[in-house]
Amino acid sequence: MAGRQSTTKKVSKQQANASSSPKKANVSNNTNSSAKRKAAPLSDSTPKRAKGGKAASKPTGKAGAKAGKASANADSSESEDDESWAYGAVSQSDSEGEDMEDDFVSAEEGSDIEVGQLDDDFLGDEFAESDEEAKGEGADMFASGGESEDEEEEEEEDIFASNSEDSDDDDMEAKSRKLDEAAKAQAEAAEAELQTNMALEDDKFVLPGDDHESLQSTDLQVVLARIQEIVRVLNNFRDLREGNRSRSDYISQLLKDLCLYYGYNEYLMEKLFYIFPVSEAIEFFEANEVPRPVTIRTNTLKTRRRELAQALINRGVNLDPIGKWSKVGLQVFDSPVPIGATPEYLAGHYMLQAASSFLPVMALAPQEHERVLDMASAPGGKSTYIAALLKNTGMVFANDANKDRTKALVANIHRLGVKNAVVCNYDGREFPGVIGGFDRVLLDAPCSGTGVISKDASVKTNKSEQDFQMLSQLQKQLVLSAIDSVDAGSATGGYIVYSTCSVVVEENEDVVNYALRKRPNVKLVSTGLDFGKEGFTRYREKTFHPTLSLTRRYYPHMHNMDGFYVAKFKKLSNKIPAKKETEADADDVEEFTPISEDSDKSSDKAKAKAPKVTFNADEDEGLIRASRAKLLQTQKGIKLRPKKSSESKP
Amino acid sequence: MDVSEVLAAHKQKFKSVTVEGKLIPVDYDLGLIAAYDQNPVDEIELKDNAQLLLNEIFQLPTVSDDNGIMAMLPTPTTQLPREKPLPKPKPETRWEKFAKAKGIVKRKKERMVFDDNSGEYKPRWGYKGINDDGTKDWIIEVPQGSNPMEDQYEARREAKRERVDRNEKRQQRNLEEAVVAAKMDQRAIGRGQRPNMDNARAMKRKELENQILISKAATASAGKFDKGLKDDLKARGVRRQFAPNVVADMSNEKSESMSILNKIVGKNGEDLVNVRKVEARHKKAQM
Amino acid sequence: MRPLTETETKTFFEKLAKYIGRNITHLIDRGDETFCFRLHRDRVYYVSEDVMKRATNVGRDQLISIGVCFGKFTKTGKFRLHVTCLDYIAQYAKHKVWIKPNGEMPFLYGNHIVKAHIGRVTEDTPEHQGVIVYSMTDVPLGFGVTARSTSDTRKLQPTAIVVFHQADIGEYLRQEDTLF
Repeated sequence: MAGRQSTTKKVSKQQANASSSPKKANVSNNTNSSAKRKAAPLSDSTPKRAKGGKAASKPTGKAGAKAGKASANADSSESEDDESWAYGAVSQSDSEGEDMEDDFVSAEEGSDIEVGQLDDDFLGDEFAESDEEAKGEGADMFASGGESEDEEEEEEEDIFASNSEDSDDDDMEAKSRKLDEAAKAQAEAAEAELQTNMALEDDKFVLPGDDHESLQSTDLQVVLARIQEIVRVLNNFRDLREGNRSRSDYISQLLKDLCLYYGYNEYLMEKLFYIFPVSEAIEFFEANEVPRPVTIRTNTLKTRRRELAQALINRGVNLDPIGKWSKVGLQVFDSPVPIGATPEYLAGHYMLQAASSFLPVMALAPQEHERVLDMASAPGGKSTYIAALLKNTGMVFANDANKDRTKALVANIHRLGVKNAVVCNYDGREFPGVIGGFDRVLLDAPCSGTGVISKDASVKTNKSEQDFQMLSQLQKQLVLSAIDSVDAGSATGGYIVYSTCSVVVEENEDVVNYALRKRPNVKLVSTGLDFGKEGFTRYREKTFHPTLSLTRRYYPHMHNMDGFYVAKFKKLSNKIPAKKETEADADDVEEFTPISEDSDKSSDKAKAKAPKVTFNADEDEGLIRASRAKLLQTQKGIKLRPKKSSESKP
Repeated sequence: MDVSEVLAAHKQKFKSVTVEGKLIPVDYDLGLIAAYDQNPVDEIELKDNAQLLLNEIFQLPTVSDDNGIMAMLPTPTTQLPREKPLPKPKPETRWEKFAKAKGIVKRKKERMVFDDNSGEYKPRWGYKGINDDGTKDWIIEVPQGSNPMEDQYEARREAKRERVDRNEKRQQRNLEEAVVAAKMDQRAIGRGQRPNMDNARAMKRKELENQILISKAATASAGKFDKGLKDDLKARGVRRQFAPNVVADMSNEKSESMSILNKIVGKNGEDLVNVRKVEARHKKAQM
Repeated sequence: MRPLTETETKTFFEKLAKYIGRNITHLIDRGDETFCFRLHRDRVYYVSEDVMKRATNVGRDQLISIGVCFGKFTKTGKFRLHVTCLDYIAQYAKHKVWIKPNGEMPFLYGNHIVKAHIGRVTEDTPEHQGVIVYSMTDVPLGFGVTARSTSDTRKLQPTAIVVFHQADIGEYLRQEDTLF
C-alpha cells in the first residue's frame, strides 16, 4: 500500500508540473469536436496506476503528455489533494473558457460530459456516444504504452466514423468493442517494444508456480506488473500462453493478485471477476477506487434546474448538467461552500443524490394522481423524486424497515416540500398485508452494495457467501411482495421496478428470474432508459428468461455512476396462477405466462393428470379415519414410549 | 285640709300625660318595650308616642325590691326573623329509610322507667340504666345443651358488646354513606332526598379497589417485576374517547374547526367584523 | 392518529393565528381538496383526506409521518410550531421580513435577527407579531417574532435585535433527531 501511495504522489506532482502545457495547446482548438478528440487520449485515467508506476521510474516527456488526467486512482487521503489540484486548475482556467473541459473530463475519469454555457440546451452531446467513447478509451488505456498521439487520434477518428455510420445502439457497442480489441492488440505490440526497464522483458510471461515466493510478495509493483502480464496473455491466449499452462491457471493467479492489489476477499473477487471480460473487470476494480462525482437532483416541486444552477453559481459552485438523460440532475465539480448546507439545500431546492438512483424512478415513471409505494425508501432520494414527478398529487407510501433511518427520510420529505407522503416503518415483506392495490411500486432492494464500493470500501472484505445468500433470499421475498402490492387493474399503472446498487448476478437477474417464475402474472417490460448495458440472459452455468435483456445494468467504469441494476415489471393480472391448475384456470396461465414453454408443459401435465384425479367420499372417509387413528397412535406412542423402552430393555 | 289646690298646683308644674287625637290606635309589644304606630308619618309626634308607651308600661304590675320598683314585662308577641339559616336535613340512616318505607312511626318513650326489682325509677338506658340485659342477675340458669363450666355472665356481656359493636358499625356506615352521598348527588340532597346509595356503594368499592392496587404496587419496582395473581384486580386506566378518524361526513369536522377559529381570531380582534356592533353603531349614527 | 380535541384545536389555532391570522380559513376550507389536521404522537399533521384515509391502514406504532407536520404539543400542553410548516405559513403570511445575504447564515444557525441584517419589512408590523423571514431572493428561511414595531425599529442601533428567532430551515440539519 505504502509503495503505491508514494508513487502516485510522485506522479501527481509531475502531473501538476506538466499539466499546463498540453491544456494550453488545446485552447487554440476551440471547436468542440477537435478539442474533445485531443482531450480524449489525455482523459483516460483508468490504467493510470500502471502507467504511473512506469512513469515514476522513467520520467520522460510522455509522463507530461499523459498528465492531463487527474490522479483519480489515488487513495482517499490523496484524492483530496489531487482533486483540489484539478479544481485549482479549473478555477484558474475559468477565464480561459473552453479549457475547462479537459480538466473536468480528466477529473471525471473518462466520462466526457460537455461543459457549456448554462443554457437549457447545454446537453449537446449524446450520452450514448460518450458511453462508447469512454469504454473505448478505457480499453485502450489499459493496453496503452508507447503509442504516438497521432496513432491514437486516428483510432479515435475511426471509432467516431464507425459510430456515426452505425446509429443502432446495440450494434454500436459490439462494434466498438471489436475496434477496442483491435486497438488493444496494436497497443500491446507497441507497448511490448517500448518496455525497456521492466522486470519481465520477455514476450512470453512465465507464470509463477504455486510455491513461488513472489506469491507472498507484498510488493505491489511486482503484483501489478504480473496482473498486467496475465491480462495481456489472457487477451491473446493462443499466442502468448506459456507451454501447457491452462487458462484456469492464469486466472487463478490473476484472482489472487487482484485480491492482493485491490484488497477484496477472494469470494467477492471471484463473484465480480466473472461478470466482466478480463480487461473490463480490471477497469471495474480500478473504477471502484475512484469516487463518483457529486450529483444533485433539482427539486421540481420548489424550483427549476436553471434557477437552481444560477443560484448555486452565484455561491461560487461549479456545476454542470448531469447528462442528456436527466432533466433534473446536476453534477457538482467544486464548491467553496459545503453543498449539503447551502440555504438552497435547506430550503429544499435540491437533493444530494447519486446519479444512479435517478434511474429506478425514471424507469418507474409515476403518473400524476397515482398511488405509489417505495418499499425501502430511506433516506428519501427516490421517494421525493417520485413525489416530484407526481407533482404532489396522488400519494407516496415511503416505507423503510429501519426506524432510525426514517428520521432522515421524514426530514428530507418535509424539506423538499412533499405533502402527500405517508412514512411507515414496516418490514417490506409485510406489505400487501398492510396495504396493497398500488398503481406502482418501487423496490430498491437492500443489497450487498457491490456497485458502490467506491463509496463504502468495507464491502470488499465484509461480504461472505452467507451474506449473499441471505440478501438474495430477502430480495426474492421482497420482490414477490412488491408484485403482490400492485393493482394490475390500475388504469395508468400496474408497474413494479426492481433495482439494486449491486452488480452481482445473484442479486439481480437471479431475483428477477425467480419473480418471473413465481409470478407468471407479471412480465418484464422495457425500463425506458435509453442507455445502460442489457441484463444477462445467461451467466456462467445459469440460463435466464430471454426477456431479461430488457433489464439494464450500469457500471462505474462504463457510465461513471455507481454500479446499478434496474428491472421493470408489468403486472397483467391480480390472480396468481397456481402451479397445478385445474382446467378452468389453465387458460389464464397460458395467457399470462411469460415463460411460455415451461407453462405449456406444466399445463399439459396438469391436463394429463386432471382426469385421473377423482373424489370418492366413502374412500376419503376411510382414509381420513385411518390417518386420524394413525395420528392418535403416534401421539399415544409418544406417551407410552417410556413403557415400551422399559419393556424393550430387558 | 283641702290639698286639691296644692295638687292642682303641683299638677300645673308638670305636663299632661294624656295624649289625644290618634286616628289609628298604637300597637304595643311591651315584652320588647316597643310600640308600633300605623298613622301617617307627618302626623306622628314622637314625644306623644313615647308618652303612650310609658303610660302603658306604668300600667303593668310592679314588684318592688332593694333595687326599687320594677315593671313585670309580658312575653313578647312580635315574631323576629331567624338569625341562623335552617339546619339542612340530615341524610337518612338505613333504618330511617326502612321505617319510612314500612310506615313505622317513631314513638316517644319516657326516659325513666319503673324498676320492679328496686322499686324506683331508673333510666331506660345509659348510666345506671336498666338495660343491663341480665348481666346484673344474681343467678342465671345454665341453658340447655351449653357448657356448664361456661361463665354465663361473661357470655351475656359478650353478646351485648357484640350488639353494641354492630350498632356502632352501622352508625359508622351511615356516616360514611352520608359523606359519599354528599359528594355523589348534591342535587338529590338539595331536594331533601336520599341519594342513590347503590352509586355510593359502587364508588366506595372503587375507592377501596384503588387503595388495594396502590398498596400492591408499592414495591421497589413500583410493581413492574411483580407477578400478578390469576383473576386479580387489574388497574383500569382512564379511557379517553376521541372523535373517530374517518367518518362519512367530514364537513362536520371542518365546520367545528371553523367555529373554533372564529372564536380565536375574534378574540384577537383581527380582521373580524362584529356585525351586531357595527349595525348598532350605524343605527345610532342615523338617529 | 386521531382528530384534535376542541382544546387542542384551540391551542393550535391560537399559535398559528399569530403568523397567518384569519388565513387559517384557507387551510381548513380549501377549494381543491379536503384537508384535515390529525394528531399522531403529539404531532399535528396537515394532510389531505384521501391520504389520511389510506394511512389508517398503517398501524399506530409503524406510522412515522403523514402529510406535513405543523408542530407538536409539549408535555405541558402548549403548542410549538415546527419549521416543517414553513411552506404553508409562508404562503399565507401577513407580516414578512426580508434579510440581506450577509444575515442569512447567522439566522440559519439559529440566531436572532439584528437590525443591520434587515433588508425589508412589511409596513405597520406591530410588536410581538409573528413574521416569516425571507431571503432577498424570496426564499422563505424561517419564522420569528418581532421585538419592536416597524416604526420603533427605525430608532434602533444596527446591532439591536429586531426579530426573535423561532424556527429556521437550518433545523433540518441541526435538529434532525428531535424534530421528527
